[in-house]
Amino acid sequence: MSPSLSGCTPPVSLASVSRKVLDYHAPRAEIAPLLKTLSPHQDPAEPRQALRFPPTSFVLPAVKKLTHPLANPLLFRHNTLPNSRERNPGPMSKTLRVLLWIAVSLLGALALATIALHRGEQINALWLVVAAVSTYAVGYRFYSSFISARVLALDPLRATPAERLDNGRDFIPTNKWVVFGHHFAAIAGPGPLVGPVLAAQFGYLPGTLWIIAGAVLGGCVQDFVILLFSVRRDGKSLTEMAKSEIGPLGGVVAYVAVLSIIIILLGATALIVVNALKSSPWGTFTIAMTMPIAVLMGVYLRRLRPGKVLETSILGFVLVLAAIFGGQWVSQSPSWAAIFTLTGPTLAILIILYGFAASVLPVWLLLAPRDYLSTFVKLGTISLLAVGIVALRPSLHMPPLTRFVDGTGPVFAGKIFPFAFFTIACGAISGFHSLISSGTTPKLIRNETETRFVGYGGMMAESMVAIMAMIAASVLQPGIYFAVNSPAGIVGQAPVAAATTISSWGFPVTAAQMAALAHAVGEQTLFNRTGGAPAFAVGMAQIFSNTLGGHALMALWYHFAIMFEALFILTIIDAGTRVGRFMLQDALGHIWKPLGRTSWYPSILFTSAVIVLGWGNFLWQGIQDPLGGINSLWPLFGICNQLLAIVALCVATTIIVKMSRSRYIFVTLIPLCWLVTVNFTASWNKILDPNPRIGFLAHARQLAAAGANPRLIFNDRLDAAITTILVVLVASILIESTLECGRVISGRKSPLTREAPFVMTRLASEQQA
Amino acid sequence: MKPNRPRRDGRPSSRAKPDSRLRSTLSQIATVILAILRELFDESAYRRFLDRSRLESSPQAYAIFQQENEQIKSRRPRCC
Repeated sequence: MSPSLSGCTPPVSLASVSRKVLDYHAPRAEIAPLLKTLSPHQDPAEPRQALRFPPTSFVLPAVKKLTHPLANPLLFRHNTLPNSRERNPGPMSKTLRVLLWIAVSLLGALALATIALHRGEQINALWLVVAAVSTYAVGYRFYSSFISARVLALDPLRATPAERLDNGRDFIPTNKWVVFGHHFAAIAGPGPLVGPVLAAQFGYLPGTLWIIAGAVLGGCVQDFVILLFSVRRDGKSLTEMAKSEIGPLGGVVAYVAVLSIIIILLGATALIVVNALKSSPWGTFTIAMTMPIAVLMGVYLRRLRPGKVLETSILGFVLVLAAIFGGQWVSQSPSWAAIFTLTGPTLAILIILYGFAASVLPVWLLLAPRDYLSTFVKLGTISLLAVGIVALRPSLHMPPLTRFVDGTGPVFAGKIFPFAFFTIACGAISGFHSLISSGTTPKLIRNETETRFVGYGGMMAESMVAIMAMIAASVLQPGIYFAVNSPAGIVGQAPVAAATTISSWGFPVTAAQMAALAHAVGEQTLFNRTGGAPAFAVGMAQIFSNTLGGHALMALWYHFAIMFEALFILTIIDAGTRVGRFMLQDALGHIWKPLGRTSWYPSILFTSAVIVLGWGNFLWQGIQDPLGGINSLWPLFGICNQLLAIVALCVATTIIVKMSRSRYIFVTLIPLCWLVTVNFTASWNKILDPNPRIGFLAHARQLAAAGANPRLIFNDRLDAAITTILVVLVASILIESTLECGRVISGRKSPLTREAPFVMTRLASEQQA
Repeated sequence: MKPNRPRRDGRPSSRAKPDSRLRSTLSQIATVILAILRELFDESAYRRFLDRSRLESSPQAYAIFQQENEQIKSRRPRCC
């Protein structure tokens, strides 16, 4: 039996600590002299993989000396040890724990089998919840633990940048629950809500399986490893890591991919808001009111109650609720309703102007209070939805698989492979998360071992949100789902014609049924509301109204859901425009210094205008598109997002190889290969497929043959060009990363990573004191 | 039944009533949630700023804090 550190309850094996300390992190300054005494022939400067783990009996005194002041149960509680026998046994006996995990696994398997094998009858939504929760639990307990111990060798003794560079501003050692909340609030956006709703056109099964499997094996792993690698590099961004670990091209590709994804994301999400608000005086009024409410909050916070953000956000939330009630009155007043009944192009122009204003106005006046309000509403609504689903346990009306797996779907065209996978996007794996995992979060991590909880666990929570969105879409009658999500270009504009077309697909719905539903939610019509948000809102309103308030409150719940989605999409638009502006200013500063000055107003106006025009162009394109815009824009966004994930996984794989952990390369290589297959196939389809509903170029040819507006033809060619450029750039980073890995594995290059030097943590001894 | 006496170190006895344990767990959860919200809403950051710069909370101090935090806050990406 291995000896234990005295004073540690539960006992921690010294052998495991010594292995963790010496095997991966050696040679480091503190232990090099000790190593020399233990093994005089071992040169501490020798590359890491040459260091052999010395016999435990020789190492124990040295490690004891190193770790004695840190013999602290708080520190080791989160330790991830390679051998389960050395783990904290806790109050529960080992047999009981084994039985518990067998039960969780069996329950997960049963739930997965139920949702996969049931045909021809409805199943309860709780099966999806149970399948997801059980799989996440097993994935977290075993797979993330394996990655922590074997692949990354998380080191509780190593000081994080939050500790070493603590400045009380961006580098702050923070409680892991608080970091988790911060990280989750930053990664959770409209993607996991909209993607699954759109992918539900294939049925609930493909999307659900991909959300669960993609998250456990891909998304969570990506977020976790990128977070850890950023922590070990003083909180460096993905772009900087790509540059230093792969090469200068990596940095350029990551930069271009990030900027492109921001611009396309903003265009696509703005389109979702436009589609949700057009011809909806109630929704438009409510969202319009959030702007003066945000300004009021900003002034209240600055002048009356400085620093009382929580109080101000609650006040803002109450005002937003009042605006929802006010919206009902507005929609029923003929004169006010006329003012707030806006067309798509008008709404698009207003949103573009809003994006520009939010980018140039002071942060405290609009951006910050909206951000607070949006975070408040987001966390509250997601929790409420979870409670609603568990309390109501609704049945899923959507079949597990629909006829549209063949690629003829009305919501967006394309076969189940590859379209279901990148449409889900953020619910399973999101490249954008790697920006947050290498942005704010690594600067708050108090101990390396907490990256597992924050990175892996945060993505699990995001994936759970995607499962809830899938449930919200699948509780709708399929006929209603397709009536809401199908564009006029496919099903026709007249309600009767649209209902007939949708019924002919085998999903019965009538114009009268849709009119009654529209009346119940306080809208004029629900036909052709593409974009996913209205369908999600109807599903959510159905769940909420069955849980609380009954049918009478359905209209309020619907507009609450629309407000919730639009509010945080607009928050993403203003924050994204500003982030894009800063990125552009940073790049332009290399060409002409004054343009890089973030406080110089001509530069602010110029760069804000460029970014706003960039996403505004995509928004306008979506408005003009007879196929509803989402058919082109969401796949484009999904591809960009997943291409960024490829860049992140390339960086992670290269670093794992350089850490001399090549035998565990599969951890990032398998999701990487899958994403390459999916996204390169998808890009090929979107550019070159002869079906005009799928291929951009085929659509451009069809429009040209019909003598359509040249602007529409240009839009398709622009989309094709952007996709091509991004694929070429990502392919080049993939090649460069493969070559770099090959050089390291074959021994032609020494495996040098750019980690910050090891510094022993002081927090543990402080905690002990 | 013996009364639930506290231990000498002030911690509740291991034989504490289930409802008091539940209350203590709930209060711990509430503390963590409140801490998360305070961090998300920058209240903790403001308190750290006041401590660091030895200022009392006031509109002027908050304006300085916001100015200092503007770069960090507005560069923070929000995911899709």
